[in-house]
Amino acid sequence: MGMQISAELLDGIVLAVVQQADTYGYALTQQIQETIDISPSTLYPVLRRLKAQGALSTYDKPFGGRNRRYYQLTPLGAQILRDTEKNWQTHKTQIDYFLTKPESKEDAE
Amino acid sequence: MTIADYFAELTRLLAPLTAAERTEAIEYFQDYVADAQFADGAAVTAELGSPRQLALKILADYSIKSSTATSADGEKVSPRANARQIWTIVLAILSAPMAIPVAIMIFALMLALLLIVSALSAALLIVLAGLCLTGLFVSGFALWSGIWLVLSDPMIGVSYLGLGLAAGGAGVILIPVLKWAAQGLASVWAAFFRWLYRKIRRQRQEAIQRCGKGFCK
Repeated sequence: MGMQISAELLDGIVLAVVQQADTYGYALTQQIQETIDISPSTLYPVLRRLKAQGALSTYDKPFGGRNRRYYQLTPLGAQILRDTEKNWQTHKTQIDYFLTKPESKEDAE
Repeated sequence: MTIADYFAELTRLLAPLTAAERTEAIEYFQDYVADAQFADGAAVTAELGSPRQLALKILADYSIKSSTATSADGEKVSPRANARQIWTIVLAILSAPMAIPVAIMIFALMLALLLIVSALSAALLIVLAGLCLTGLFVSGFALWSGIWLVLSDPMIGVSYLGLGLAAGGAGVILIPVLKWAAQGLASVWAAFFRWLYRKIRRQRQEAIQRCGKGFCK
């Protein structure tokens, strides 16, 4: 994907994935990488920031003789996700107004 | 390079972070590598970049977010993070296009001026009070010795008494002057601080109003 994703949107994507189910770093990265070309080293700062904000909490669960750190959505994280979803809808409509051709709009309707 | 080597190098390169921050980052990527089941350090490098690239990416994020993020977390902001912030601010000030250094200089000059004026007004009051006290003291001393001298040497005694009365009079005259000067200076200072307070408050309100109209962001 050639276009830069803003930090706010990346936060939203991570929160949305974690909302589906508690997950750990590797699985989260794999899930996002299915759609978006993003490096694992980019996601660590995002997770750290969201945890520091209180949008995510972590807990450790034993797996294969070690502890795996799981990320969980907090109520604050859910609130941020709702806000981001709302902002994205507005943003999408505005950008579509300029960048989506009228005939394709009609097609979509 | 083994995976252990990779993390030894990464740990070394993350030295600028606090122990807690470093441990958290290392644990995250160790977790990641274990889940990804990479065979060796080369596989890790292919996925995460060299230890140096990864460390730079982690550190770059901290340099911007550390102050807000760690304090929001309720954790103590580390002294190292504080020192880092102070340096960043010093560098920012030094590299700012003149405006901030000039503002600091003007502020320092105004502060110096304020100190000079307050020192001068304090000195004026002290000198006046000193003169007043000296007059009363000289008067007391001259009257006291005059009384005794009048008996043995009337002329000298009378002149001492005269000197004493004159000095006493001068001292007493200075009391209202001292009072007037003290009151005058106090009201001037009070007026100055009221003015300063109003000015600062007005600027803040103007700034708030500007922000309210959406001029600043």
